[in-house]
This record gives sequence, C-alpha cells and structure tokens, in this order.
Amino acid sequence: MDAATPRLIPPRLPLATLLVCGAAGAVFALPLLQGLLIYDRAAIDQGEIWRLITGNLVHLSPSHFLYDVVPLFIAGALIEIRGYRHFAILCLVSAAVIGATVYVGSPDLSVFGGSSGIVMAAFTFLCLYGLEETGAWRRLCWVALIFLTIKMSIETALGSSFQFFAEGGSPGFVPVPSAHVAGAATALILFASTRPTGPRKTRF
Amino acid sequence: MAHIGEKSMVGRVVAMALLSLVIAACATTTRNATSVVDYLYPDSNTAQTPSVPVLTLPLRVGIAFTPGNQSVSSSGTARPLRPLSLRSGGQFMLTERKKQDLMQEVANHFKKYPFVKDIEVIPSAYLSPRGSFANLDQIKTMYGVSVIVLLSYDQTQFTDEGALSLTYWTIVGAYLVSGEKNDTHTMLDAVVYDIPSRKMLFRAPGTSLVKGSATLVNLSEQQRADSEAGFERAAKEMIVNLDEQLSAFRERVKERPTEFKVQASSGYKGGGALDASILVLAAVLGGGFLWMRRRRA
Repeated sequence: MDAATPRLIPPRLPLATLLVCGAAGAVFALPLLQGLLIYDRAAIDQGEIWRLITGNLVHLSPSHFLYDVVPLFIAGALIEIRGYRHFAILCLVSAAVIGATVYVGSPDLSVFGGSSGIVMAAFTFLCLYGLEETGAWRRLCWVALIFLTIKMSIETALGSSFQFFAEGGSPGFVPVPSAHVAGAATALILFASTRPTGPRKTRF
Repeated sequence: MAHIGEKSMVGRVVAMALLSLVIAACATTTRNATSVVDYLYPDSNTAQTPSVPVLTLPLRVGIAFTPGNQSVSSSGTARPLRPLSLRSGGQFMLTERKKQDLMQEVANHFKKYPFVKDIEVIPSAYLSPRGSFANLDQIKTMYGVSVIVLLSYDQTQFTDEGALSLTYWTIVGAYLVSGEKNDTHTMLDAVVYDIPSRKMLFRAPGTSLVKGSATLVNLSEQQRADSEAGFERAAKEMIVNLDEQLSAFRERVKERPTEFKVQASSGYKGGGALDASILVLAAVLGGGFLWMRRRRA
C-alpha cells in the first residue's frame, strides 16, 4: 500500500445487531414463537417473566415490524461499526426495563409487542457517544438528540404516538410512549456508567 | 260539418278535462323521513357545545335509527320540506324489521374492525322523538356504549308529470335533487357521534334513484317494490361510504391529535411503535456516516 494513501479501518461486523434483528425476524416469521414470547400480562402474572424481555422481539404486523426493525438495524450497525461498546448489553437491559415499565405503568395493557423502545435506546446511545466525538458527526448527533427529546416529549404529552394508527394503519393497536422513554433513559444511564473518559477521536 | 266540428270541440273539452283529472290524480309526491337534526337539536335556540372526544379503545358502539314516523302525500310541485314538519299518511314505511336488518348489516360491517369491541343494535323504541343528547345519555347508560351510529332516511316517490325537486335535509345541510314521474329517491345517512363529548366524528350518506316504470294499474305494488329497492341500494352505497369516511377519520385523528384523544382500555393490545420520523432520522444518521466516511477516504 502506498504510504500516502490514507489507511481505512476495516468495518466491524455488527454481530449483536444482526443477532437481535435476526431474532425479531425469526419471531415474526414463526407465529408459534410469537405466542411463547409476546408480553402477555396474564401469562407474566403466572410466572412467565421472560415475556417482559422477549415481548420486545414480537411484532404485530408487517408494518410494525418494518418500522421497528429497519431503524434498529441502522442504529445498531452504526453503533457497532463505530466501535461503541456495550450494544448487546444495551439491548438486553433496555428490553428488561421497557417490559418492567409497561408492566408497572400500563396495568390496563394485556398484550404488548414491539422493539421501538430498544430503537429509541439505540439511537440515544449512538448520539450520546457521538457527542464525545468531534466535527460534523458530533453536530449531527446533537441535532438527532434534540429531535429525539422533542419527539418523546410530544408523545408523552399526548399520551400517544406521532403515528397513532401504527399497526399497518389499523387503530387496533395503541402505541405506548412510556416504552420509548424507558429505552432512552436506559441508554442514558448505561452511557453515563460506561462512558469513555476524555474526548474520542472521530473514527470513520 | 258544423255538427262534426261541434262534436270535435266537445271531445277536446272532455279529453282536456280527463287529462286534467289524470294529472291532478298523479300530481303527488310521497315522502317518508326521519331526521338526525330534529332528533339531536329539537330546540334550535339551545346550542350544544361539543368538547374534545376521548375515544377509549376498543370502542363500544351503538347503532340506532333516529325516531320519527312522519310521511306525507302532497300535491303540486314539490318544495323543500323538513321531514318532521310533514304530516302523516304516507303509503310506505321502513318497518322495524327492515330497520333491524339494516342495522345488523351495518353492525356486521363494523365488527370487522379490531378497534370495535362490540356493537349493540338498539331498538327504535329506546329512542324518543326529539330526545336529543339526554336520550343518548340514557342509551349510553343502558348499553354501555360511548359512540353511536345514528341512521336516518329520507325517501320520496314522485308520481307527478314533469320535473320536480326535493331537498334532503341532513346533519351538514341540504341536498337538492330533481325528480321525474314515478322516480323513487332515497337517502340513508349514518352519523357517528361520540356521546360524552357531543361531537360528531364523521358521517356517511348513501343515496339511490329508482327510475319508475309503474302504470296506473300496478302503481301501488311497484311503488312498494321501488321503495324497498331504493333502501337496499342506498344502504349499499352508505356502507361503502362508511368505509371511506372511517379511513378519512382515522387520518384526521392521526393528523390532529389535539382534536381527538385516544386511550386504551383494559384488555387492549399495544406496543412500541415508531413512525416515519424515526426512519428519516435513521436515514440521516446513516447517510451522514457514509458521507463523512467517503469524504475522509
């Protein structure tokens, strides 16, 4: 290689992202798994507590799946390719926190599904790490963080989502904004407890 | 020749007299109507101020025909009439059984939507004429419904010569249609109200025109058949319109969340759902990353 040519760091394979998105895809494709994994309040009350976490992998319609998994793949891939650590832990912990939040905060909800809370956690985590960097990426992450804050504030104030009829345009589904807030809060706490000391050098 | 001319003149006079009698006999419109306007707002001086509806999903919906059994037979050129100002004595009526069948048809259609928990068909006897929202509050208590579909109809049969006109008086204004001899015009109107807030959510009309082919011999039978056919066709159109209006209403709720509050009730499913804005954010961040990476390369 010519010494004058800048050396590109080979991209990392986003393994955790592929694993989480692949699991969501498998669950979506297999209705039997959905029945076993979905957040079902009655089943949780009977001891099936794994559903608090696995409910985040279950999607209730094709559009619900796409709206959640496509952003999750992008956010997760960016986190892993940029070398931000603990994404797998973030997914696991945020899923548990979201499940617990829904269980405590929405006792009327008997069935819950969707990974949008994890998506919000991933984007928040990505942008918080981005603030540690320099240049255009840092500015972009600032804008994204402000956007996420406004979005969650509006959703919480309205008690609904930007897109109320989320299930393939059907109103047979109620968005749960507290899941988004729980995901973002988890990301903030995890970032604060694991943040690298000192400014990072931008890595592309 | 004078005799022949005299006979011809007498014949013409007799023929004219007979024709006049026939025209007079035929110069009739029969109208059978109920009105949501008169049921909900019987006193035009009393204003009902709607508040912001809070729709608790899944919805419990009631469906009922607005009361009113007035119909009319009138002579001469038809003019716009408000249904409840008509006098009784019409030739046809929408029977209670027909009403029940029609309500059941609409109810079956609503049941397919996941946001409708159940739909109650409410007998006409439970709705009192000019009962207004006080009557709907009673229905709400009795049946536990929060949203009601009020059906009303307006059917006019012309048995007149030449062009006539009539006005359908609906919740949002008047429709003017022209009529010809033996035509049967029918309008069915479904108005969906949130009872607690007194707010109209949406409405869907269905109209039909059955062109008359009756003769003086079978006029009565044919009119009855046309009346029934008119209701059936109008009902079909109304159900199609209900679907369209429901879609439009869902869009409205999405676009104007401050005008319609939505909340989930016990036993309902929900979840983490994102919207197009997060896809845009993902595209911006992903695109930004790739652009910066390429620029540095």
